[in-house]
Amino acid sequence: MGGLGYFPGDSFLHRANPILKLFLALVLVTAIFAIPSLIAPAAVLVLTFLLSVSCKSGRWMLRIIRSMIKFSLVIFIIQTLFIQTGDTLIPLFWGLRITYQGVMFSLGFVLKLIASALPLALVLRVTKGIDLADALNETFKIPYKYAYAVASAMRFVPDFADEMKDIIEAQTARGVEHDTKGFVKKARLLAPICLPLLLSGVRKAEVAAISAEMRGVSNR
Amino acid sequence: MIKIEKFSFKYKGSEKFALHDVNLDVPAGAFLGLSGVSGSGKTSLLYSCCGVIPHFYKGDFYGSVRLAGLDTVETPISELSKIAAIVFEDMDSSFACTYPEDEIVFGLRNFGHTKAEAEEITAKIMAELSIEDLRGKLIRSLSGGQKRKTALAAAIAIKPKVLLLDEPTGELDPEAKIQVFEILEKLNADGLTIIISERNETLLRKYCTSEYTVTNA
Ligand SMILES: Nc1ncnc2c1ncn2[C@@H]1O[C@H](COP(=O)(O)OP(=O)(O)OP(=O)(O)O)[C@@H](O)[C@H]1O
Ligand SMILES: [Mg+2]
Repeated sequence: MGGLGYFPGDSFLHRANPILKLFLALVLVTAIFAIPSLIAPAAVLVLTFLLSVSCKSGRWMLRIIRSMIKFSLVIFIIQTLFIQTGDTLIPLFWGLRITYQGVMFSLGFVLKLIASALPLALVLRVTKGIDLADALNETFKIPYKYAYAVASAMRFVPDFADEMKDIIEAQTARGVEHDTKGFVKKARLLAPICLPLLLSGVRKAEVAAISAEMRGVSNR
Repeated sequence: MIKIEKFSFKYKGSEKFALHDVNLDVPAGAFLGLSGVSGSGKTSLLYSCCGVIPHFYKGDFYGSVRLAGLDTVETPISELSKIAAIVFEDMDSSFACTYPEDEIVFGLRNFGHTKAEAEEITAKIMAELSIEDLRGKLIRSLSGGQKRKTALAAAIAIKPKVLLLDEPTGELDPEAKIQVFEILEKLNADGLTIIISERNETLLRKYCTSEYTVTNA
């Protein structure tokens, strides 16, 4: 999941009003889930990709889509197994089966999931958190402290991704295979990472919050 | 500037005292170095000087700590933070922004400066610390020394009376360590009261004008 978070640039999207960007992203996400047709997520996917290209981030967007697809495969499989109504495509063990309806529904669901994550990822890439905080505070009169909390969360996305990479590398150095193709195996390897990541995340967030308070974030 | 009397502190949920019966008087203009083994309470003492303890870290608090005459327990953090600035040991997590210049502007605007004023002061401070070349570079891509200077610049921009630094040279190479201490020496000469925790005894003795060894026995 490397490459999440702000990336410098001076494209049209970089310079656009932060609130406008966030609003448009939310409109797209809402459209995906409000319009029953699968044309909506497909259109959002294409539109977001074109927008990414416009700010020199096309290649990055493809990478994000690829890792989203990997991530979604697990969801797709679980989803498919849960839907046991409809015409059997492949019968499995213990009376379980893969059905046509199950596959179609899960495909649609995963497509919506991927499409809805992309606009937000793009907004994160072209917006400085601190600019969004200023805009939220000035336009909507949201107390700066809370506006800043949003910015701070955005500021931590790349750190979080980096740390995950560090831990995976440390495990790889100790001989843990992360390139494995099996999903269950991969999930079992990732599980022990989650706790240290969460704990260090909490500690970092604590320092970040205290540091912001000591620099007057509540005074504004 | 800071007066600590019969001060003991035990973190909530902890069995033993992190600081025990500390008596310390730091006059204005001091450049005090804190030494002590790992776990002796240097960080806790710095936290106590600026009100991070007990405002953010709760626990059993005995005795009194006064910052510029203000009792740190009774005075809200919004007041204490105008007097004392702190540079955290984990500075990576303490940055609020993506760029060094934004980081300095952040505190200034919070303390009531307009955007234009904040940008003017930022330019001045970056020139003073010779970090103008860091403008437009992502903080996360900077070297340890460059990050330290950025955190330092952000801390002194708001013109505190006291500057607290928690092992600010930890991971730096010897040359960068000296650079940081030379900046501090100049700030101290201009009247800033400084308290710093530092493992390197040689540097501590060379630059600090007084030393306090923290023990939690
Ligand atoms: N948040 C906390 N909760 C509970 N106990 C803590 C907390 N922070 C520190 N302590 C404890 O308080 C004592 C003093 O810790 P402190 O971090 O102040 O020491 P230090 O001198 O800064 O150590 P180091 O040189 O390793 O940074 C230690 O025993 C530590 O375990
Ligand atoms: Mg410490």
